[in-house]
Amino acid sequence: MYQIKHLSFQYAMAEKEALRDISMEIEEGTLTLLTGPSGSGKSTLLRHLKKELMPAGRRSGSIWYKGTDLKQLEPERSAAEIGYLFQNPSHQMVMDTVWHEIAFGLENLGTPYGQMKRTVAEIVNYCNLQRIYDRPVCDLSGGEKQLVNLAALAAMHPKVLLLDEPAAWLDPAGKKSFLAMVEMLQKEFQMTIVMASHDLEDIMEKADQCIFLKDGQILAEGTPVHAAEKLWEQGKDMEAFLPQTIRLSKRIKGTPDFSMASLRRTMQKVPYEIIYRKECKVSGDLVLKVRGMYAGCQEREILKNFSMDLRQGEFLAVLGANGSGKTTLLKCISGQMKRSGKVRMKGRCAVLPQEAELLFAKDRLEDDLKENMREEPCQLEEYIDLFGLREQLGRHPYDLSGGQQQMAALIKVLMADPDILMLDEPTKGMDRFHKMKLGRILKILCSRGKSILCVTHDMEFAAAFADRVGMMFDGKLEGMERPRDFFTGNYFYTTMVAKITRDMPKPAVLPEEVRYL
Amino acid sequence: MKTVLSRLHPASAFVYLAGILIMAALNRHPWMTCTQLLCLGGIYLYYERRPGKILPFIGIILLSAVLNGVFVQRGNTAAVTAAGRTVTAEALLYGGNAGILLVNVLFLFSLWNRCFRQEHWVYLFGSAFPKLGVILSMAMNLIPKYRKQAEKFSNVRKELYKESAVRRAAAVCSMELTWAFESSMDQLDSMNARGYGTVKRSHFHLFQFGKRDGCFMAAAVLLFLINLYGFWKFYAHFYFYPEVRWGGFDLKDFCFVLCMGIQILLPLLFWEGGKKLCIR
Repeated sequence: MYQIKHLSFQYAMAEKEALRDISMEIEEGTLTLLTGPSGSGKSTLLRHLKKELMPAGRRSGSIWYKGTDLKQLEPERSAAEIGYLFQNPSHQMVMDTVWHEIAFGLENLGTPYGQMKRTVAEIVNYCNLQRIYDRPVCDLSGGEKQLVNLAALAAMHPKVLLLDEPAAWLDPAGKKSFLAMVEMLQKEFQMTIVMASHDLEDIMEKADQCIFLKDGQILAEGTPVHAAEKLWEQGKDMEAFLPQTIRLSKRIKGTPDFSMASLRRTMQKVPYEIIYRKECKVSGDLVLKVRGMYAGCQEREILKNFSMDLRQGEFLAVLGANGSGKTTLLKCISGQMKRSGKVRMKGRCAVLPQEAELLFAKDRLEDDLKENMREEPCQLEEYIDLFGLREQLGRHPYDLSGGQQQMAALIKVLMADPDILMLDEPTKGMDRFHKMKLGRILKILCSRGKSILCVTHDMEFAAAFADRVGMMFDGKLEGMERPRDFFTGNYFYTTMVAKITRDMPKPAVLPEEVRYL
Repeated sequence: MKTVLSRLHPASAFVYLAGILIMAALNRHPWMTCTQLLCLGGIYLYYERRPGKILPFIGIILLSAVLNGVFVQRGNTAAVTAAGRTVTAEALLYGGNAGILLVNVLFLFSLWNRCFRQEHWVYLFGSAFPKLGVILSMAMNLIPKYRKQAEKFSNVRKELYKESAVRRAAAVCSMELTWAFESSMDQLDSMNARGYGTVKRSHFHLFQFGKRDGCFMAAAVLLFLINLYGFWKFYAHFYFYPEVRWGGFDLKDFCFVLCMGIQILLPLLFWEGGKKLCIR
């Protein structure tokens, strides 16, 4: 389908090359996964596969699409045959209602009315959009929006789908239905799919070809198993990007294995020991005490008789599916929403919102961080070093990567000098490297006496860093325990490794805890 | 009424509503304005369900009558004399009639709002001017998006910083501007990627112009023309000053008042029984 020969590219104003001597082939009807750390050139490479989106700069090498030079491809053919899905679900939507959004591409191609109506009807039924097809797009959830975007592309009958971090902004449920749809399109219509993603969990094993980029070069390529093996050899840094199953299979000296069943069989045979991470019981003063809190919107009560304690220096993670009331909880405690019940708080609290960009007000990161400072300037300097943002100070906050943006936003919140930090999905859209870094920084903040209340979907993150974990159910917190007890005690709602090792004499929670004897 | 209109093809509904708007704006004759008031007010009351809702509109009519009475000294029949000024009955009536006119238009717009959704407008403009249709549709998407984002910006700042409302508004404005530029880059790419501007656009919509729509439109146009003729021939002039001069109310007037009533209540004929009318 695609042939790329010796592609190098340098952005117009940049000093370094974004892509260096890339050569690869993409077969028709396959799923190719482009992966690598943020800033490794995944999106740049993906944009080169679509004529209209090729970035401006110096380029050498050639890209062939079905035997034609991509640059010579007719505009109508390029628009219809190659679909491109962007990372942010809402920015790429153009029209006001779902049905109009789906028809937008068809309108652009001048499709006759009757054919258009037939296609839209087909797509709405095929993609299960009956419930939402006549709604305004601004009322949809992120997952629904991304499904509509995919449906809008599929309506044009593309041969190739290019997906740029399509699931990074979605919650687990949204991600699952989105990936299922992508798989269906590939299987049933033999669409060629190229997906850029730094999160490999649930995705890597589905790919026919994995390409791992680092600093604009191909570091490993081949089948998922082959690529994983190559990355193992690269050392710990690269290993961190691999999914939990692969990291576990490395630790028990197996070959890369995506199947939970065969991993379980191997675990039962090989000798291993478990080194749990150190969990010290936090015994600081009570800084937040909530008793009998009720809250909700209109008729529906979301929090019911909610009670919770938070101690100084404690990291409490609240897990829960969509709509279980996690965000409502943060809004109630921080006073953004009406509530009844007793909330006693020592000191100030501050919320880090899900979207980091909500905090950026200035054109340079440095000016932005200094806005409305309550802490001493030397404290800011220290945070900048701790978060590793020194080199980015002169850049525009919007130009940072997702992970860096989240870090910068966290500094801004910290500069308001809160005693209780409340984090709303802090790991959303972050690659695993930044996730781990954020976790370590949060632990440092805890040791300095800040208390953290974090609501998240990310079980691995909670298992690796929280002091206590609970899940939301029926407007209350259920099963408030240490992560080890919580995740080994849960049967369904738990980490991948805990599911694999359940009922074994030595259950583990994270791959890093397992050691081969 | 509302369901009939919103189920109809937007063009038919538009012709009907525009016809009433023109008649409501033209007519000064009390018989006509009062007929319109009764019909449109009835529709308004039916949808609001609470009689209290009509009070502000009565207020407007009374206020208009009183103001005109106080400030305009024309007319022969003195109604009240106070503080050296005479308020004439004619001026009061004239003011009241003007108030009724205004209220009619307000009632009509409320009905218009009830039955015309966004997509009706987008369709109407889009089929007349395809480029404008896209812009309108994009604007309909962008306005709620920007408003939501501004609310989020403002909430986050309110929670985090203690600053004056003016400073916060200024900060939110500048943040919103940066964000709008940033988010529109993606939108631009997405439009390009989906072939915007490559060939002549076609226009997609979910409406179908059926026989029923045609009947409705024809009826609306016919009634409008009859009423326009009546206005031009008989009701264009009505004198309040110096004295109200009523002509008699004869069969011809009765017919035209009836016609005006039917023009406004036309959708009722298309509800259930209206269908049979069409088939015949």
